[in-house]
Amino acid sequence: MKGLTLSIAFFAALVSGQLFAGQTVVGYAAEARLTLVARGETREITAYEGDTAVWHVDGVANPSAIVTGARRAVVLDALANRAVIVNLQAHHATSITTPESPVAAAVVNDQPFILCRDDAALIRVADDGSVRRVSVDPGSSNLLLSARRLLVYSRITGSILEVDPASLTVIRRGTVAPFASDVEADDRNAYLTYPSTAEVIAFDLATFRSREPMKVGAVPTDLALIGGSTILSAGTVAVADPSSKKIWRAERMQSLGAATGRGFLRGLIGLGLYRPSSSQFPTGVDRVWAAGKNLYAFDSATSTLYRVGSHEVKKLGAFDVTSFAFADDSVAVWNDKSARLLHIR
Amino acid sequence: MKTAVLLLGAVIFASPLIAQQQRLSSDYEIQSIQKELARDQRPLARMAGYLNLGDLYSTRGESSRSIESYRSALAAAGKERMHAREASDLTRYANATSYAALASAKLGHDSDAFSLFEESTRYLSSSAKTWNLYASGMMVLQRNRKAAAAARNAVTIGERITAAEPTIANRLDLAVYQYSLASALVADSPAEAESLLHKIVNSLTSDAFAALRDRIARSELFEVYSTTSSDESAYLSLLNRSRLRLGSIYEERGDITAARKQYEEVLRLRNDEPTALARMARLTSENAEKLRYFSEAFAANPFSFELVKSYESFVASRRGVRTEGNDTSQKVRAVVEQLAAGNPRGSLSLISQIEKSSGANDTISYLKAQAFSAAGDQAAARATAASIRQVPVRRAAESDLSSALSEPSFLQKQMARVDDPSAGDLRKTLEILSDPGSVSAREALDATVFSSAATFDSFTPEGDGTTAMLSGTVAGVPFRFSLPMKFRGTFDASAPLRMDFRILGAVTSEADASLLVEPLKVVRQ
Repeated sequence: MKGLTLSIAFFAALVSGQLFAGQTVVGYAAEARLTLVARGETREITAYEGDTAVWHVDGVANPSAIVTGARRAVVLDALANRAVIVNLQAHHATSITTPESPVAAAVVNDQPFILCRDDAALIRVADDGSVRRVSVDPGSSNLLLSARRLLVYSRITGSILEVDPASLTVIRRGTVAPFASDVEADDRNAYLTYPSTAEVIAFDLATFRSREPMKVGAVPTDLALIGGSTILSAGTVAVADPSSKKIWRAERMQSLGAATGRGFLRGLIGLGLYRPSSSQFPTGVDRVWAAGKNLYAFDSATSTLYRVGSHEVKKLGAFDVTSFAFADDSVAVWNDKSARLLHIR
Repeated sequence: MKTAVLLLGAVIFASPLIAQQQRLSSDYEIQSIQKELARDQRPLARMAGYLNLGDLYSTRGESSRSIESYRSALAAAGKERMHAREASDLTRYANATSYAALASAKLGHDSDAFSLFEESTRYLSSSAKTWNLYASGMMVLQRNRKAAAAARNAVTIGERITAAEPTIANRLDLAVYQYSLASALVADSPAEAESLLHKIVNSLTSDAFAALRDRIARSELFEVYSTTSSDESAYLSLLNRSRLRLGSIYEERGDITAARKQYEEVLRLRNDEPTALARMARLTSENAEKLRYFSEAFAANPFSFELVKSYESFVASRRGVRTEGNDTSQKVRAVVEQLAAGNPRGSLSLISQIEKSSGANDTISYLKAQAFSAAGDQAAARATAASIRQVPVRRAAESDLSSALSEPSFLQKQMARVDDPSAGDLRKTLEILSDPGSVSAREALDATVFSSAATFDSFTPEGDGTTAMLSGTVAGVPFRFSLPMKFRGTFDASAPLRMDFRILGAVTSEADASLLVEPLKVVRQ
C-alpha cells in the first residue's frame, strides 16, 4: 500500500468554515484486512472489519499518520512526539516517546522504523518498546521502502541515504536536488517532485545518482506510482498539479534495452507505443494516491475526492476529513458527525 | 522593501536621532497599525497587521483584544488561502497558509498550527522565510526543539542565499533567522544561543551595515511591528532584541555588569524601551536611580507583567514607597504599593479607576486577584485569576492565591534554610503565629534560618561604629526585634539590606501585627 495514509496526514480541509475537520487518521492494513481509525478526541485506535469495530487499543492525542505492515501498524503523533506500535494479531499496543517530530514510518519484517525529522534520527522499535537509532541528515522528512531497503530523503540537504534495516547503518549516500514536496520509490528508482521548478526527478537506486529532470506541468506537488513494471510497460508515474488542475502521467524510467524491448513487443502485438494519458479536473487537485488498479486524486481546497480512470474522472464526493484509507476496491473515511467509518466505492 | 515576513515578536524601536526627544507609546503604535489596516487591503499586509496588533495588545496584557486580532489574522489568512487556490497561485497559498499557522499558534491551537505549517513547507520548503515563520509559531507554542529544527533550516537556506548574493537585505534576513534559532536554543543550549547572538550583534554593528545605519539616521524611522516591513525597522528591532536576549543570558549567569551593558546599549538606541528600562530598574542598586528607571518603564508600558513583578519585589523591600498622580502608569504603581502596604481596599479602588480608563487587562486582573485575596474575598480572587487569558500571568496569580491560602511549605516540613520567602508565605505565617495556640508552627520554625531583603524603619548610629535597628519589613510583611539590636557598621536607607533571621513568633496589637524575629546577620545587598 506504499504508506498511503502517511502522505495525506497533513492537509487542510477548507470547506465548512473549518480549517481542520479534527484529528482523526485512518489507515488500511491489507494483509490483516483491517481499517484502523486513530482518533485524537478519544485517544483510541479502533480496528474495523468492514463497517464493524472489532477491537481497540489506546492511541495518541494528535494522530498524524498511520503506517501499516503485515502484522504491525504504527500510529504517529508528530506534534507530541509519541508513537503507538499496534500488534495487529495480538490486538496489543506499545506506546513510546520518540525523538522530536516523528513524521514518517515504515514496517520492515514486522519491525517498525520511525523517522524523527526534528532530531535528525531514524529509530527502530523492538517488540518490548526499546529503541535503537541512527543519525540521518538534518531536514530528513521522507522515509521510503524500496525492495526491503530503507531510503531517507532530506528536503533541506537533498541527500538520499540508504539504511540497512538489519544493522541500522547508513550504507549508501547520494544527492539529488533539495526541496522536493513528495518522494515515492519503486524497486529501481525514487521519484521526486518539485513545485518551485515544475520538475520531476528520477533517482536511480542502482547507481545512486539522479537522472535529468523532467518538466511536468506548472506546480507538480504530489506523485504516485501506478502499477508495477511488466513486459509491456515500465509502469506510470502520476503527478498532481493543482495549478494546471491536472494529473499528469508519464511512463516510469527504464533502461534503453528495456524500453526498446517493450516497444518491440507492443508493436508486435499491435498496441503501439505506450503513452499514458493525463487527466483534467474541475478544481486543482493537490494529492494523488494509487491503490491497486485505482488512482485517486484530492483537492484539499474544496475537499473533493476523485477516482481517476484511464479515460474518465469520477467525482466521489466532498469529504471534510484529513485522511483516507485506500483498499483495492473502496476508500474508507471517518465521519466525525456520525462517528462512523464510511466506505466509498 | 522587504516583504513582511521577518517575525521578531512585538518590538518597538526608534532611531538614535529621535531617541532622546520623542517617546513612543503603545497607543500610538496601535493607532498606526489600525490606520494601516483601514488603508491597506493587500492580504499579506492585513494578515501581518492583525498579527502585530495582537502582539501589541498582548504586551499590554489585553488578552481579549489580542485574541480578537489573532482571529482576524486567521480569518484573513483563510480567505487568502481560498483565493490563492482559486487563482492557482500556490506560492501565495503557501504564504497564506504560514500566516494561518502562525495565527493558530498565537491562539493556542497547537495541532492546527502544526498541520498548517507542515502544509506550507510542503509547497515552499525552499523558502527560509517559511521556515522562520514555522520556528516563530513553534516558539509561541513552546515547542522549542521543533522551533530550533525549523530555524536551523531557515539558517541553512539563508546562508546559501547570502553566500551567493551577500546583499544587505540577505545578510539581514540571515541575522533574523539566526535570532530565531538563538531564541529557540536559549533554554536547552544557552552557549550556542549566546554565540549566535554575539554573531548577530557583531554582524549588525559591522561596516557592512554602515549604509543602512546612515539611512536609519536620516529617515528618523518611527515604526513598530513585530512583522517588520523594511530593512531599517528589521535592523533596529533585531539589534535591540538580540541585546535584550544577551542581557537575559548574562543575568542568568549572574554577570550583572555585562547584562547592564547590553540594556544600556538598547536604551542608547531607544531611551524608552520598556523591557530594558524594567531590567535596568531591577539591576540598579541605587535607590533614586532605581525609582527613575521604574518610573520611565511604567510610563512606556504600565501593563508589562515582568515590570509589575519587578516592582512588587522592589516595593516589598522598601517601606514607604509611594507614588501619586493621575496617569495610568502612576496608578498601576500605586496599586502595587498599596498592596504591599496592606491596603487592599485602596488597591481595588485604584484598579477600578484604571479599568474605567484603560479597560481590563491581564496584568491588572493579576493585581486585582491579589487585592481581593488580601481583602478576604477568596471567591472573587479565584474568579478573577481564572479570567486571566495569558497562561504565565494566570499561573502566577493562581500560585500567589494558593500560597496565600495554604500553609507555607516551611511550616509543613522543617527546613534548615529558606531564601527569599514569598510575601504570601510570610503573611500566612504571621496570621498563623498570631494565634496563641500555634505551637506546631513555632516548633517547625525553630531551626529554620530565613534570608530576605529587608527594609528598616529607622537607623540609630550608636557612635561605637554600630547602628541600632528595631523594626521594618521583609517582602512587605512587618517585623520587629524583641528590643533594639546593634549591628556592626553604618547602615542607612540608601542601600538595600539583606537579613538572615529566625522567626520567633508574632507581636500583635489592635492596629497591626508583626513577625517577631531574631536577627542573625544584616549585610548590604
